[in-house]
Amino acid sequence: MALTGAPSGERLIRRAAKIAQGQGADLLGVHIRGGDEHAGASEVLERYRTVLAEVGGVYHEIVADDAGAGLVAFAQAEGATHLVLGASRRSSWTAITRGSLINSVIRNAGVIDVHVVGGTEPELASAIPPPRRSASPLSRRRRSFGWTTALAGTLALTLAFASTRDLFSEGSRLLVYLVLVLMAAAVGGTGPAVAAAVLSAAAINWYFTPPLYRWTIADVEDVLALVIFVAAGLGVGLLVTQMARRSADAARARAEAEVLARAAASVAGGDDPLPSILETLCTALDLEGVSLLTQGADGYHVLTAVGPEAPRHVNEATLRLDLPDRTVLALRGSLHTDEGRVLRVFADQLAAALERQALREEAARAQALAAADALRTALLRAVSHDLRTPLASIKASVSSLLQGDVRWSAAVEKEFLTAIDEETDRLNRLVGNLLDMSRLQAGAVVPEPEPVALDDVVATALADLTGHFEVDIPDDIPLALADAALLERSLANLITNAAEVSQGQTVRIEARRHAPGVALRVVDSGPGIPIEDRAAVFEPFHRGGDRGDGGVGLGLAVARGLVTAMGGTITALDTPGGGLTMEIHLPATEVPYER
Amino acid sequence: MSADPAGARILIVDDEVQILRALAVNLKARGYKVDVAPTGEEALRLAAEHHPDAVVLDLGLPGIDGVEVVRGLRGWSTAPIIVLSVRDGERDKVEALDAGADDYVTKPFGMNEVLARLRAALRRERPPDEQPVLETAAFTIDLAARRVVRDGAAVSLTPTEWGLVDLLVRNPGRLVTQRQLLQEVWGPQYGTETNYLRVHMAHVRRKLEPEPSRPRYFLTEPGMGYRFEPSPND
Repeated sequence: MALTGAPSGERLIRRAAKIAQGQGADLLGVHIRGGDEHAGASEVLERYRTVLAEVGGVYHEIVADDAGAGLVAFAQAEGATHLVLGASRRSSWTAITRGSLINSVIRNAGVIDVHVVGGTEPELASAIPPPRRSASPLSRRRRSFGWTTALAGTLALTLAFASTRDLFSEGSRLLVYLVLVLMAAAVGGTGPAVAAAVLSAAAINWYFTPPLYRWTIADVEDVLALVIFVAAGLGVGLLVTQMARRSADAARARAEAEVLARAAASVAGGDDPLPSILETLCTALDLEGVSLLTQGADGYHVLTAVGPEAPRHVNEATLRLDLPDRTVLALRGSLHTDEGRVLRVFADQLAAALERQALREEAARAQALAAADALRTALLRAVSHDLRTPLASIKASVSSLLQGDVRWSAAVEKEFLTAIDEETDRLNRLVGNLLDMSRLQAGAVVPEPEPVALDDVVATALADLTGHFEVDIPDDIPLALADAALLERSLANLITNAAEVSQGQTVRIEARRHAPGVALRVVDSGPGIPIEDRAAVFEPFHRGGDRGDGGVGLGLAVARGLVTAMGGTITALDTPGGGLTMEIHLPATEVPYER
Repeated sequence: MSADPAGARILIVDDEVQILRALAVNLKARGYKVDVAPTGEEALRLAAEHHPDAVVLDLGLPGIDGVEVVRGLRGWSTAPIIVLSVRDGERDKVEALDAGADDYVTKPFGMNEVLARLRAALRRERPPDEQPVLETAAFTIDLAARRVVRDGAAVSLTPTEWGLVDLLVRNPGRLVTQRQLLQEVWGPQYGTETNYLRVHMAHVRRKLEPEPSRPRYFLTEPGMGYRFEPSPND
């Protein structure tokens, strides 16, 4: 279906939609722009686009100087079976001077059925530019050179021969003139060739063919010679023009092929091929700018833009091509008739690239979701393990004590009760850590730093723990600036962890001056942790799953969170001779230490 | 229940010292011989050395995983394996049972439950002539005559229903996995059609359970299988 910028194309669209529905075919609306036309009747066209979308059609714009030929070429390229046109009310006169669009379409349509919808179109011709007269394929420079050769050459030659009338025979003169005509033809094509031939013939007739200085020619042979002369000039001129046209076609085809190959290559390679495709398009068609726009609820957004004058909105575009998913390719600059094919290929490439990009984004989103999901599952599993393990011990001990068929000895009974006691503490620590962790993550931990004596904190932290400990805190160590409660919880977690990995061996707790503050170290001689894994031990539940001892996963994460919250740092180091040393750095106060 | 198979040797595998200790004390108090292993490697070594009559196994172990231990044991031993684990996902249960475990108890567990499961696991499957008639408070089953009597009247079961009842009743107190039931009753090519089981077990319960919506004799172990409880205590 062909659309003009004229205001009543709606009826045409709806009729075409009906025909398309009857045929079970897709509906394409086409607006043909002249190469030199700029966004003109864009509001009307915008409305047509909407109407077209309502009836399930797709809007296209093509550039063509000859609307009829361009329309048929587009229809053939899209594999159209029917063309629906609005009937024209143009006067016969316009039809004669500009050519009738409908006749031109019917003439060229071939196997495509052409429908003409009756007279509602007020002025079909208004938006369709007149076919441009086919210009000479030769360059302007070449043509003017040809004209100069024809005019000035004939004049010069005639003057030269007139002053040396007796030196040359008539035959030689004729040949020299012929060379001049051929030169003009070779350089300037038909026009200069004919001019040169006619002028030369006239000059020969007037000056050199008897009777001299009269237009009459005495000899019939001379008349024949002059006719052949003009014919030869004309023939060569036509040949040259044709040749030039062919070579121009070939050059364009070559350039087109090159551009298409580049476009294809840019889709194939690279993560985001869009800019490079646009770049290629912009350079190939010598445009001022090209951009990809997406239509959102609040208008158009620029996806990618290339060129100094890239259109930021469809209204700024010389030409727009609709791509899938409400994406529009907007071009700005002068466009030419036969670039339509290249443009369509570019549009296809862009559509493919956009689709690939969308698929890639979707895949990445799915992957991220799956990763987050896996992490959540692992965390839940770890929490569930850490909560259930002490519960299992408690339940096992309690249900043993409750059994009626066995009488436990006092020693065994004490053992069960001790287990319950220890596991309850462990459960309590775990719940405390879980609460601390969620407070830390919610940013609800508000430290209240004050001067703190490290030996007091260490003593409090050790009070609830079981294991072998050695404390080494020098008397002259300055007071640390910390929140005593938070520091104690961090330290308890570090020591618990150290005691678990040491398996009964002594854990050392030492404090040292460490400019500008103090360092508090928990030193174990367990298996240690390889350097590459040290950052990970501070991640919550980094061990994952339900292997190993409970509490490890959360303890270090909470310790680091609390220490960081009060302005300290915590680092995992090697213990000389094997094992892990956790070092807390804290700011110190200048208040002298008093005992 | 029948007397404990006194003197049976049990291997307990768990990395939690408290659990290990509690289980060991309980089993020893009931006349079992007990081996304890804190890791899977140690468990396989002890099993090869002492040939235990049953294994109580935690899945989350340092080193090789519990499921691997099940596979390692099943390579040469048919001793029943009872899994104790905090993993309560259906996938975990199915994985352990498919690897060859006989029963699955989630932590935290009551000591009575584990002991009952262990007793059931240690009982050999009885030949039909040994106990042809099984009597419960609700119904009587004559395995040899293939007859079920409830409230003085004979209950007619379809061949499929009888197949399910027969297999479950011959394994009182023991978990019979979905795969086992499907393969024994429907055929060896079956194994995943758990919807068949749900439908036919519903029929069995409607015919035999005093309260079919709250079964007491034919219990479902979600994701794992079914268990026949000959003397429900509630």
